[in-house]
Amino acid sequence: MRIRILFTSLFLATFSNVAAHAHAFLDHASPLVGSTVASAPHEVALTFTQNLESSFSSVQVTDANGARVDQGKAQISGNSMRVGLKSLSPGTYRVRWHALSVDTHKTEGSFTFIVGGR
Amino acid sequence: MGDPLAYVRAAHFAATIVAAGVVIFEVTVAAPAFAAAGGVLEAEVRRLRRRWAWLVWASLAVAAVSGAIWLALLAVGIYDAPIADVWRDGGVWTVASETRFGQISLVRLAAAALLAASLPMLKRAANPRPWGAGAVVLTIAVLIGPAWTGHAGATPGAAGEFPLAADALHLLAAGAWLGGLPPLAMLLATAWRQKEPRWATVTAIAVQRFSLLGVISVSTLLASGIANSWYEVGTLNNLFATSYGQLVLLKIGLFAAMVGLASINRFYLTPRLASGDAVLRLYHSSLAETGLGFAAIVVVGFLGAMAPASHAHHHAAIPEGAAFVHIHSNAGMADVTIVPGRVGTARATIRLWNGDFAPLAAERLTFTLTPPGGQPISWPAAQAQDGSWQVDVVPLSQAGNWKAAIDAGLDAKRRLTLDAPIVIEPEQ
Repeated sequence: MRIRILFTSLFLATFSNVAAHAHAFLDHASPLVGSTVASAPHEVALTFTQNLESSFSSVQVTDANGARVDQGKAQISGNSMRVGLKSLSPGTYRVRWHALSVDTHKTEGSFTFIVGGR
Repeated sequence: MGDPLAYVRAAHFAATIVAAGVVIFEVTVAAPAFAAAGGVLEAEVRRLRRRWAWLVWASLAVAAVSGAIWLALLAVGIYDAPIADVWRDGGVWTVASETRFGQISLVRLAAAALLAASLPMLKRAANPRPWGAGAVVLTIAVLIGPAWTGHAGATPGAAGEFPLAADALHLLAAGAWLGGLPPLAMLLATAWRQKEPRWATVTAIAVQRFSLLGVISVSTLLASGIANSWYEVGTLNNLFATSYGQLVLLKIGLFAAMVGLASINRFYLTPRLASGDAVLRLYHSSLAETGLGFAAIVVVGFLGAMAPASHAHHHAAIPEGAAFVHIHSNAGMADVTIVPGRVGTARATIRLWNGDFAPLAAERLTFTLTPPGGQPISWPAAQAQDGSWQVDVVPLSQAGNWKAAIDAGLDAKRRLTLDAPIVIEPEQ
């Protein structure tokens, strides 16, 4: 039985290789996802699980009214994406990101953070 | 099974593998075998080399056309727009020039064009040795380029380097073994028709050398595959439960059958080459191996296309005004959608995925929401026909950062528990 499991694993190992696929998911963020920060951050920095295609990845930060509070185009390098912020007043902000991983899979997501402990 | 990208990928890999396999076979197997037989067979050898050159040309043409379609389908997916719009607005060229997939595709196309242009040297030459080294370099570039646009190639930092090497070796070994089978079959067919003693010498040397190439290739396929699943250990879990896993099983079966046939060739037919119809049987066996190998490549096409296909579904499944969170862990992933995502009564839908974005089967699922500063409330979710889990009535008492938690029983022993914040908007 042990031998059978070993061989099954070997064959599976051979073939799961080619089939492997990945998507760029958010690994960690600053400010932290869902966090409350005491002072207004100057930028949002996102780190992903895969390297990104810079021409096809983006991030936007909006306030509770949906108005943009980021400073435009994000800087993208390897698996990280960062965008500067305008000066934020206390409130809830939403970060929306779109990513295309180097292995050409699209992902997107959003999270919020709160400034000023409101 | 209707995803066109699956067929395009399969056609592209098959064509690339054949083109590369013929070149590698010519240089490492056929050329030494012909040299050993002397110049007597020159006319037949030239005819055979001409046919191989045509096979490489045709394969490169199929690879180029399927590669272009692949790129176009990718651009359609990236821009989420009809092909006519993407083409008119230059989106295909932007994807070709600004993504690594596109840039590597262009390098591979250039290498394929140079290889195609060099083929008259193979057709004309009695001894194509000067052609061989350059052709092998070009063919390897065409063959292993996709490794840099796969999972390993997208993995950040040093963690991606070892799996990248394993991917490249995996492609190289597949090209050398599977791609070498059609030219081997053509050589065996010629030898069977000629029935000339010198062809027996050619056949014996060619079969012996191809057998060595096969052993090295199968070992490399196993070693590179083991290395990568060590890295990708999460993919072993859902082998029997998901359609993705069942396709992997199908491919394992095809590979096992190929290795079985190769073993018969190596240990039963090869020692009997001098007698009777062993050459003809070896020819038939090589054709059967080729058929199994190409079936395996079709499976690869589907395996590769499943992830983006599932993802397109997931992408389309987020309705306007919904609260949505994707929760990702090594054990599995969940998409939680709450519609409408604001204070009031809503419906929650949960989809479970494995690490490859294939649906993850579960026997039961409990969904828990915790309001900001409040106590958690749990509901047993019911499974809908499309495999998603639903809670029809979810009262949302207040706006803010809630916590969504999932406790799924995958089978009698395994549980998947995930949680993440989810934002509920104020009442409209």
